[in-house]
Amino acid sequence: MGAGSRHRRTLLFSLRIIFLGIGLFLVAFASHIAVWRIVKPSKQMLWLTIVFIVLPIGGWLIFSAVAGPHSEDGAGWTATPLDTFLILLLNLLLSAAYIMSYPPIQAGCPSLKIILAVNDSRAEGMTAEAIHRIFSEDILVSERLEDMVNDGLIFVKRDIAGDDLVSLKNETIVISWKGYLIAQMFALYRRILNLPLGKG
Amino acid sequence: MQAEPSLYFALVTVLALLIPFTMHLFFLRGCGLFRETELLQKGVFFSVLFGLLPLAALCYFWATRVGSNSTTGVIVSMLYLLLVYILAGYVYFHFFNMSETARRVRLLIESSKTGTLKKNDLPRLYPHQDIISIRIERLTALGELRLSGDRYVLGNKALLLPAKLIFTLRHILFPNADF
Repeated sequence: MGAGSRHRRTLLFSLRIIFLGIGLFLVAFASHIAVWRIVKPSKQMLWLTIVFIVLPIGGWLIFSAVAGPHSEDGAGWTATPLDTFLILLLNLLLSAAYIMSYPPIQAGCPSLKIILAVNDSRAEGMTAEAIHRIFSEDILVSERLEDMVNDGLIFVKRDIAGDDLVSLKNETIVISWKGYLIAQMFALYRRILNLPLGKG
Repeated sequence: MQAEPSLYFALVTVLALLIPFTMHLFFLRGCGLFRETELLQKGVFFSVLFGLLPLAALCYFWATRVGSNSTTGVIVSMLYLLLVYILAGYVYFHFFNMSETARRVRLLIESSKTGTLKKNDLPRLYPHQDIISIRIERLTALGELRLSGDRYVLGNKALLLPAKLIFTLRHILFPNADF
């Protein structure tokens, strides 16, 4: 075997942690597309956590436990605890990057929608009024409330007292402990940065 | 990574994860920079960019004091660290963006103030018109939109490709969704 070929093999062997980290993510991503197309889960954040975090970590640990003993004869490769940490960390970061990008995919981010609409208008451009007309109130707020109910962040209580028995419009949003924790986490983060709360 | 990089490499990796937030905190609180509304997102971008300096220092420390005993091992370890850092920066950018722009976070914070919120009060607390106006303002500040007379046209187009990618993925995952 030539020196060049040996060098390439050493390099590929060293890159295995990066390849395995990315590979785990790609398997999770393919599962995500399959699950979403077939089942279309309502608790999407929970399912994203299962598909991108729980399954790859569980899968890798099981794979390591099963493959480990066979590698003792030198025929295979056993991941050290550090290798496992680095592979799972890379997978976790790729998954976190995707999960953070997911809300605009799920909800159709208004800012990106504006960019696409203005791009479609070409050189003619769009007035502020025309941009406002793209969005209905339902899409902007009601659907987000629905997502939050599905994810268990809030509950909507229907007030059936008095006139509301007829209109059934006076609904009350009640925050769950999970939603409260998330709200407090973001509020604390903004305080640490010494910034006012975001405008949404 | 290929040789025994020891626990120091894991420690360096964990420290690399903290750099984007630490740099952002340093710029905002230590230097008082990027506090204006139109500069908030640019502040995160520059924090991640300037964070490459402490990352380089960490890499140098690891490679010269502890590092792998083969050149290939050092190069691949640096590549891994850079990848981890870029991903950490991307995740941090989105986390900050959520705190600044997410409708869900705003709704949660409004509800958490009293524990409950009348649905009928939402238009007053979070007016539909404001949601769009804030975004037009933000996109103009970022240079994504440009005002030409009374019409908005596309500016620097930096978000055009991500927008197309996001909506393509939306189409794949939710074929029946309203676009």
